[in-house]
Amino acid sequence: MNKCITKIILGLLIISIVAVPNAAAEVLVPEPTMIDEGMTGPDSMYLDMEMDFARLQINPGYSDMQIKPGNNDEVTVTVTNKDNETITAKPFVSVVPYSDNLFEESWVTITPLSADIAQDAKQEFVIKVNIPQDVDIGHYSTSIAFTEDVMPTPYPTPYPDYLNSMHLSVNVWTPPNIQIQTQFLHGRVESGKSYDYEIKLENVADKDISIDPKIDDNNHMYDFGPFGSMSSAFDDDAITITAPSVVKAGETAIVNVHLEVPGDSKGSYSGAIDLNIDDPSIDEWDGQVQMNFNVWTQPTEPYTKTFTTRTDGPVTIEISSNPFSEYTYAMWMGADTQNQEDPSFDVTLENESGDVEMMLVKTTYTGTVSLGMSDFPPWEADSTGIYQDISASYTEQYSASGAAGDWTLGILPGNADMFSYTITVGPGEDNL
Amino acid sequence: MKGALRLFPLFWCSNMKKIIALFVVLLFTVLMTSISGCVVGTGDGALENSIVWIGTPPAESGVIEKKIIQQVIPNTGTEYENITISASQENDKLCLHVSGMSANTMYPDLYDFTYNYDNNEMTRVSYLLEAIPESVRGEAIGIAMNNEQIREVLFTGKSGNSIPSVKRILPETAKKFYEPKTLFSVTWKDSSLSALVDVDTGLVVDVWSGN
Repeated sequence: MNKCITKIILGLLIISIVAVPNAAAEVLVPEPTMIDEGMTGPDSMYLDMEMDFARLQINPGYSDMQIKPGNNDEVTVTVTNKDNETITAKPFVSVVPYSDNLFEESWVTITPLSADIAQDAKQEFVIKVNIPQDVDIGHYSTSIAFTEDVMPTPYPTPYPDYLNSMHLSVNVWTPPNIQIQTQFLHGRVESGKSYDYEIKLENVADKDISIDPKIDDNNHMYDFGPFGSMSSAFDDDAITITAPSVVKAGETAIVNVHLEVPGDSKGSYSGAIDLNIDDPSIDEWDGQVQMNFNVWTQPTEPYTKTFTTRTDGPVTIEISSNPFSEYTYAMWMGADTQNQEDPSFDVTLENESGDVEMMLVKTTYTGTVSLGMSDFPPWEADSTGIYQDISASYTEQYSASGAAGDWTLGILPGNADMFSYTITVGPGEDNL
Repeated sequence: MKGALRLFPLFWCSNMKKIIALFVVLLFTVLMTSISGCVVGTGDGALENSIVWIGTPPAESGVIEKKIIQQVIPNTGTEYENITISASQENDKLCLHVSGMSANTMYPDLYDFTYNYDNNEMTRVSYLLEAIPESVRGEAIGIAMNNEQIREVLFTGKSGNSIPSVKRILPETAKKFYEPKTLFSVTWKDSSLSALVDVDTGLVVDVWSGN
């Protein structure tokens, strides 16, 4: 019985070994771009030079790996001979100088070491990358060249550009030892008020990890846009950070962020807190908490508009909040609360005889809804056909008895940073 | 201890054997309890109680409910407190609009299905999944804002001050752009800017800027 099972397993193994390369060989690969014989212009200078090189098609031309220190990964590369003679491919590592970190040649083993590839034949090479345990996390890249043919240049270059090569990018990573449970502080803040936020850090490692949270030095590198300098709503010193210096193993620590919004601040503030986590599992970007605050100043005095009427017809006032996106609307809720506040307007009307009583005759909610047919990212295409709120606005309509003369309209908005108004004198559609 | 031994006289050999036997029995009991609990929990029992039909339920509503429960999966760490379904007949197909609401999320998960009575097949047509806990939303936005391409558009542009939408992208869709796993789409609609975010690895795997 056991022998029978062993035979079946062996048979299946043999079938799979035979089947895999055949299946891989069936993968369609794009035709390589060859230098056109009729090429003219600046590039033609290269054609004037003696060029005799092997024409190999390498698929894939680029490979990306994610490997933890002490682990390995491999990629199978298919090399097709598009030349009119047999080519000997002898792959080797050509370390590129422009990588973030220097790739070590010794990390790579390639099998077979070399192969003679007949015209139009394919040869598979397995490129195995072993990352030693002591390698720093980060991005490493290199080229794997299959022949010594290099791109001719009219001037000497420090590093050869191999024609028959592929690019290999390796992201050496480890799961973060510290989990940043709050990665984004945002919200609409009011000038003159203070706010407190918490950044929770959980140490999932078995050793203490030191931290030193500070405002990122490069916070304002993006303040210089294409239209010149864009001032921030407030300086970094409006933010005070208090935190322990160590997150103990297996424990959670809180970084407290206190924001005192200056009374005269306007606009928005964008920046980041660099947590300065002293652990190799956290790279520079991962150790940051982004901040984005929009400063809101609630007016205390109403906006006023004077106007003159020449008839005694009724006066109709219509005030609308600006159309706001659903998510701008959410900003009124403060950070992470579900207590939505609707826009509102305190409206007054005066004429030469004093305050005029106004009657709220109509409130209107207006919205724009999309079915996701256009102007959405391609990965949201599966939401097509489902209603999505894009924008909404709120309108109040008031009416007052009119008389010829001078009038003053006062509007104090609440929870609205933009509004529009319409003053109609005489019988409106509703009054007819 | 004595009581337990009386229940299992076959293991009455030595003290060690008794302990091992008791441990095995306890382990078996715990496993069986948890397995049966799981069945009841996914169980559809709990969810069936919270399913609400808007209007008159269609024919075979019980079968349809079971198929819907199999196909609507909330975000990890989230449960649907209630599911509302509305149905409309379109030619020979039944169109179903499903909304899953969670207690700890601001927005619902929305699904559109069609149900074919001939072969009892349920097909998902569309989905819009925003029932995402604030902590996950914040994490996805934070990862997106760590991306240099996103930062450049947001911080040097004149718009982008609004809070972005965050939508869960199912593995079937995600595999077209990255890998078959749950991703999150962080989109600034007013900037025509979106980042496809892998929260597990903390990476932005794709960026769309309206072009």
